[in-house]
Amino acid sequence: MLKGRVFEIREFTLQDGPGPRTTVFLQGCPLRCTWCHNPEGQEFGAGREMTDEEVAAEVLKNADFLVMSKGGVTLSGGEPLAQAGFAVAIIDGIRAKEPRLTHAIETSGFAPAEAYRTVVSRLDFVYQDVKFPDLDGYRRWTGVDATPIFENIKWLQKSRVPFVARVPCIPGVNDSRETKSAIARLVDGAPNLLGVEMLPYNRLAGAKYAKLGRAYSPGFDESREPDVSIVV
Amino acid sequence: MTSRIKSLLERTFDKEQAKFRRDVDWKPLLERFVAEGTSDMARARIGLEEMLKAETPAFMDGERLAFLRTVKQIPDLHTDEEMAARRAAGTAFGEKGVVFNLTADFAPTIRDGLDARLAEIDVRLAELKGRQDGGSPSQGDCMRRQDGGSPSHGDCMRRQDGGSPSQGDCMRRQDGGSPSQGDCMRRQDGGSPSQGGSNWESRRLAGDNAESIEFLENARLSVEAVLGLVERYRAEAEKRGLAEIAATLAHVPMNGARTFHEALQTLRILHYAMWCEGEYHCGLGRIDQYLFPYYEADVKAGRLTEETALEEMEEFFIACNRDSDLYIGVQQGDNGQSVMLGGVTREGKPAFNDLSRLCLKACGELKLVDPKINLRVDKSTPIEIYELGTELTAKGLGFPQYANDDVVIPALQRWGYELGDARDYSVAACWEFLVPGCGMDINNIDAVSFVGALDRALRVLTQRRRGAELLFDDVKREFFAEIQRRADALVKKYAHVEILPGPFVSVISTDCIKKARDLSKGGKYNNFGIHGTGLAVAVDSLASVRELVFEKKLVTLEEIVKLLDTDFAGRPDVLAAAKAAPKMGNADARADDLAKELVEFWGHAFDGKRNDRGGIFRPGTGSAMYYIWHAREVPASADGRLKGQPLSANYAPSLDVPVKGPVSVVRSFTEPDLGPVCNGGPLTIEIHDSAFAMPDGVGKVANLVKFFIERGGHQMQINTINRDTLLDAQAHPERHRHLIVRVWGWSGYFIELDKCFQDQIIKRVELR
Repeated sequence: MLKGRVFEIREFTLQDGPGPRTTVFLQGCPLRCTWCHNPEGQEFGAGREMTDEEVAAEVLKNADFLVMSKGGVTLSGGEPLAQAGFAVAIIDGIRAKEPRLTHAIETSGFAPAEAYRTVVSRLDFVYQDVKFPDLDGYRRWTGVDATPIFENIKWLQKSRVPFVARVPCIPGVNDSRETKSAIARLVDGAPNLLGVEMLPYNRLAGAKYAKLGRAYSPGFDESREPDVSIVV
Repeated sequence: MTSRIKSLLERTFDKEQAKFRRDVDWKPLLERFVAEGTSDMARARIGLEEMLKAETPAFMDGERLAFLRTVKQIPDLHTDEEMAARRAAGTAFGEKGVVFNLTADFAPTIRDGLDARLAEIDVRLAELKGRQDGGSPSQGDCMRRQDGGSPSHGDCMRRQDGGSPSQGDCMRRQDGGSPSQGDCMRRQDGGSPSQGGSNWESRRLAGDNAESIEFLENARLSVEAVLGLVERYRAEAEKRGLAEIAATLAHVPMNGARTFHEALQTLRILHYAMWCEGEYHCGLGRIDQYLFPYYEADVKAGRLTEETALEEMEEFFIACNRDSDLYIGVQQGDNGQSVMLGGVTREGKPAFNDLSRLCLKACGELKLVDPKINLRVDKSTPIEIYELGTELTAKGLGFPQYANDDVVIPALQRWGYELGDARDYSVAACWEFLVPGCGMDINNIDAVSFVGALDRALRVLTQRRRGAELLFDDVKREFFAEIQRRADALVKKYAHVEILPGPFVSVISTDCIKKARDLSKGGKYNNFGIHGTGLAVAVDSLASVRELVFEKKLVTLEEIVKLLDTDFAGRPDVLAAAKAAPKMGNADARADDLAKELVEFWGHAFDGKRNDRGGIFRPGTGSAMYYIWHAREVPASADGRLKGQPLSANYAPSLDVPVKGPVSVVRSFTEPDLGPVCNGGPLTIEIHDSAFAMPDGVGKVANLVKFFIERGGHQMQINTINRDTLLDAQAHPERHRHLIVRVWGWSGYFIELDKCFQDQIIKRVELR
């Protein structure tokens, strides 16, 4: 039994994988994306402490519905891989009780290679964030050295785990044609790539910061519509 | 959508038809009725005659289905003083007192034409007059004469084609025995369970011959009045070179429809005429069943393709929106023009057909509030049908509303409905289950406020005994006792209900001519439905009382009662604890167990009670508009709801309650056994419109509905909304003319609602 931190377990999430899903938001993220729309999930140590068994039990309450509708569980965050052991325990625990649920993750990919591989190899499906095609963008806008992210993406492309590349389109930050083309080139060609999703910047993100007593200063013109057009 | 339909749609939405309308002052007519002491029956007929005489044939450019309302007002048939005097003398009325909230039996008249009804009336009149003159024919005589007789038919001349096919149709039907004929005989032999042994029945059997004759004579004149307007429409169409309309109206509704188009034209006229007679909330029933034979025959004969059939259906649906702003309701859009699709046949076979599919497709293209689509499903319904329904949900239409045959049919049977009738159920207007044609139920006659009952119970209890001696069971017991008192009071209040006659609607309802009795005097089923308002708030309040008073002992019952009057003033801790207490909708047994008990009690609160028509009282989980009204009658409640905050509509989690999500809501709300509360009242849930941003959103939401049905839910409706859009619509209504929301049992245009109804809907999604 492992303990971990969770900031929300949301049921009937519709955009987190095949079928309706229950999404478990794990607390804490090493990145500090200036546009983050889940700032409440950033701090490690916040959220609510739960055991993997409690999380599994909560998810399994709706197992009948999830099985019927061919849905499953998605781990999100925060950065779920920051609690990789906890994530593994949750996935294994649920699978032991109800093998018919599918498992997915939404990740920045910022994790040690072993953690990444241990979790991802258990999954049916991955939403892999690709925010920038290079280290510079990550350094400037998320505050991390993204070397492990690119290594993990390379590994993912060679794995057999189906994945969707998700690009948060931030106006003036990464929505230029050049940046998007570079991202597309980066992920293209993998047989297990199901597609690339352009996610428009969530304008409501700022509202959550005030609630947390934090200033929202994303450092870009948030009033401008992001260009979510797909580059071929 | 064809360009013709698109143009009709746009012009109808923009109310081009309003240019044909005029005001008529009906006061002189009412004064004449009073002065002459005109009977109710004659008033109804004269009102219809005068109304139809005042109508002017009018056509919108490009339409093929005629008939639209040109007179804004329907005549009042009784003064307020007259009605007040009757009430004072001990007669109760449902709402305005007229026949309302039901669906006629359109099928036989579409099939046979109104001339066939006239012929039947004449046969019955001749027979009754013969009896009056001394003869007293037996029932056998009656049947023989119907089979072989040659009823007088004074107005053959009026018919354009001169022939008398309706006569043949009529005889064929009588020889072959339609289901309703069989029903009629069976009932005459034995009587339906819901009618047996009442004084109503004995009064009926006493048989007032003069009254029967009065009914038939007025019914005949009512039909003539309708046919008179049809002829004026036909002549006007001919004059204007609208050859197709003129040709159609030369055949129907006098004769049986030969094509899908003629069937729709007949339905349009019959439905229109009901509203002109003063009936309101007139449902359309199972159109995919009774129109199917015409659709199928036309398709087989090559007269109709999928495209032209869709065009026909779309034109009919647009027509349902043509006069609807004149159709009265508590709010605009509350007009009861419901349609029921799918389900099973009277024989129990799956009934969802190509026409059901076509209706769903038509609604999806038109995106109008009428007609309001209901879809019957059961545990064997394939997910594809749910998905077809969910396509409409995705468009934000607020329908279909789903009904579960697995729950509703057995529930209706337990209430005394025959199996074939139970399988033929539709909804009255919103969600009250009704058997079209033969149900003269008043399904929304009144409501019990659960929140009011609990408030009263807490006060009674704390005045009677000291809190220290009380157990939580005492609270429950007193609450249920108060509900019972209120239920009993309603039984007493509606001991004697009169319904004002509707001779025309009677002609198109099952067996009224045969029985020579107006529908208002009773149909095959004469049950009264009682809504239950604020169920979730009451459950949450009970759960809060149990936790705060009896488990955590944070406050005493006396203190809670005092806090309710002051909106928890000075005790923010109690308010916070009340809000944090278990709530229905979170799949939390600490609330759901109380819901189970309450629903079970409510489901049997009227056991053994009958109205003087021999009908029963059917409890339900609907709220109608009482969720707004009843909220005004109570102070704060123990769940932390403050004074003035509205209740949830129908069967839904309390507002201001954070719920985990719709799966838990479905789980909680299907914990109770819903069979005993099948008057109707849907689980109402809101889904954010982003759910449908991805193409597979439809399939996911469809699965949620299926989950509800498989767990034994009775009825469900889904609002697809976005709070920001609703707020923007309040600020800039002109930008949101097409925005549709589900209110309590109907879809309406958001900007046309009163603010209290708008705000309540916004509140539903504040925390979700």
